[in-house]
Amino acid sequence: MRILLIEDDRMIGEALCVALRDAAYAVDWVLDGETGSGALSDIQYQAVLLDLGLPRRSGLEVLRKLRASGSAAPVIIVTARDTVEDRIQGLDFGADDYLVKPFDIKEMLARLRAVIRRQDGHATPVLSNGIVSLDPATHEARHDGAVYTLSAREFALLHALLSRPGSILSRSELEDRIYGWNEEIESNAIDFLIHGIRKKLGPRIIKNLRGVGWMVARPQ
Amino acid sequence: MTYSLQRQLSVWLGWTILAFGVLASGISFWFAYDEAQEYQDNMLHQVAMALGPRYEPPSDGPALNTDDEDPEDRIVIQSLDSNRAAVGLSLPANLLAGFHSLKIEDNRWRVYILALPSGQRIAVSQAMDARSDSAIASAFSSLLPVLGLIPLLLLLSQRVIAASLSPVRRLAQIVDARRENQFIALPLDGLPEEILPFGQSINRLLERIAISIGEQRRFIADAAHALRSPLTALTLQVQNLEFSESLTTYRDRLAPLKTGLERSRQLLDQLLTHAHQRANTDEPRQVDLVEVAKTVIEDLIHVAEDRRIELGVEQKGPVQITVQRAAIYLLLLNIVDNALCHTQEDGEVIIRIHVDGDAAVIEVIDNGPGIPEEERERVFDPFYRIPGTLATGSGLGLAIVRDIAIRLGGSVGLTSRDNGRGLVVAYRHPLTG
Repeated sequence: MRILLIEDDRMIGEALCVALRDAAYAVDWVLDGETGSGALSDIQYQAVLLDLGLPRRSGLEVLRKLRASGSAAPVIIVTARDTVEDRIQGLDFGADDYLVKPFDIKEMLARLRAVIRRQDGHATPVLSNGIVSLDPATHEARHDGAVYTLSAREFALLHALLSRPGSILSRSELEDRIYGWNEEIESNAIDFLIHGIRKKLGPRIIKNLRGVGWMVARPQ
Repeated sequence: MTYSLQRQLSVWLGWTILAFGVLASGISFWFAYDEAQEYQDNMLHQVAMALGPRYEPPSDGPALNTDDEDPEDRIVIQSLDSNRAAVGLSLPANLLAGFHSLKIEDNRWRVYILALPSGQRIAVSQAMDARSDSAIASAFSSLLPVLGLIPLLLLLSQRVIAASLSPVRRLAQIVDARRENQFIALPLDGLPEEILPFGQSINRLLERIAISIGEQRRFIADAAHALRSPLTALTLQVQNLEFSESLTTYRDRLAPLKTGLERSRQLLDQLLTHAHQRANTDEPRQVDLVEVAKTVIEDLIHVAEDRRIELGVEQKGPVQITVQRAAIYLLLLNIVDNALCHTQEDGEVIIRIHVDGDAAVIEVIDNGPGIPEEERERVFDPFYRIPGTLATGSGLGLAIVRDIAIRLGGSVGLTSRDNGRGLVVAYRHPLTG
């Protein structure tokens, strides 16, 4: 899952990147509103973490522009402005959630999972296609009654596939969801991850459609 | 020592009324006495005229006495030429016709001598004491209403004062009922002209306090807001540390935490500086600006060296001003620190000290990016940061500088060095005497 972080405080930005990468998100971090808007028009993000007091273009302006372009990407406002009016304004501008600094990382990750889940149209937190299920909170996969622990990248890949069971994701689509801007991607990285998942959960969990991409089965 | 307007007024009014009352009584006593004398002389004359011609000395007993019961009306009639001189008062024989005041046997008498055509002289006498008594009584009766006036006037003055001061008392009640965060002007209508300026002064004071408290509240809110960012960073950094899986990541994540702590410490230092310098009450003394600049450079040289910025002083000898040393040191420290913070690596920051007319001038000149003209006023606001600035300052440096400048009676201004690039922060301190 690829996240855009728009935050002008270097120290907070760096710490958030570390935390998000720990939680298997691919993070792109920009320091001002204008660059943020540019990134949003180029890439489909699974979620956006947005500071309000930004240089060059305010957070609310970035949000307004994003919604005007028709994007429904989940946006969580992360700001030190904590008045009720600020929250109302943020939500009315099209934000999905609101986090006031300082906050707990675990709370931020939980809210992030929640907005992504709602975005994907799932009511329950656990993703499943009836064969394999995945808990975003614990990164645990279940199959045939057994519980498997996945690495961060493995989780991200399986999450991408299980979010839309039955639809095929190409190599570049998967790479987009798993890696951020500045991360070097080996050409066979995706194959390597899929090999790892198949080794843990069994070879038939992920189907390979030669020349097109990968998919998990649609629920019966 | 408090004193009562009412008591003071009452005392003065009382004494004045009493003094005038006594004076008026004295005058009226004198007139009444004089009039009574005249009236009674007339009476003696009339008695003599009426009875004198028909006067026959009694064959035995004293001279004719009128009613004995009232001594005031006691009148003695006698003939001076009687052979029986033992009768009546022992008047001297040689009295001429007319009025006489005589002292006979310890009593003072008023005597009228009527000379009859027959050559006989008739004396009509009345005791003086009785006459005086009647005059004094009439004088006292004229003093009575004046004496009665004193308590009446005191009561009236009390009422008038109480009524005039009631708006003041009302105002005091309003002030007492105020909560400590209410700074609306007091209602001054109905206040006597004499007390009105006092009320207006209180209102002006209230206004100044309201402004000052408003500024402080804003500052506290801004400070709390400014503390949030480093606190957020610290929270995240600690949790990242907590979730690190290997010793290497642990070490990697410890470094930003240290930086975060350092940043919080700096911000707190600045906040304390801001608070302290406002309460600074040191005595001003002779200070050499060049010497102050030297101290500032000693304290900041490590920052300059870290960023390879050249830091130096341009001067033509000592410039003495009379000022609180700690304040001027803080002022210069913050200007230079701000310049070092915003100047790129390998840049330069120069402190220039000179005298310009009747002012001592400290200029801090850098070759950094400068500040656009439209931002040059706002950068002095606490916590204000120019949009797009990525340097992590507290946003308090220049606010502290301006606070100190105002307090020292000088002025601080920003200009660009040349062609909009580079910044010159100039502090001008008036030289007196």
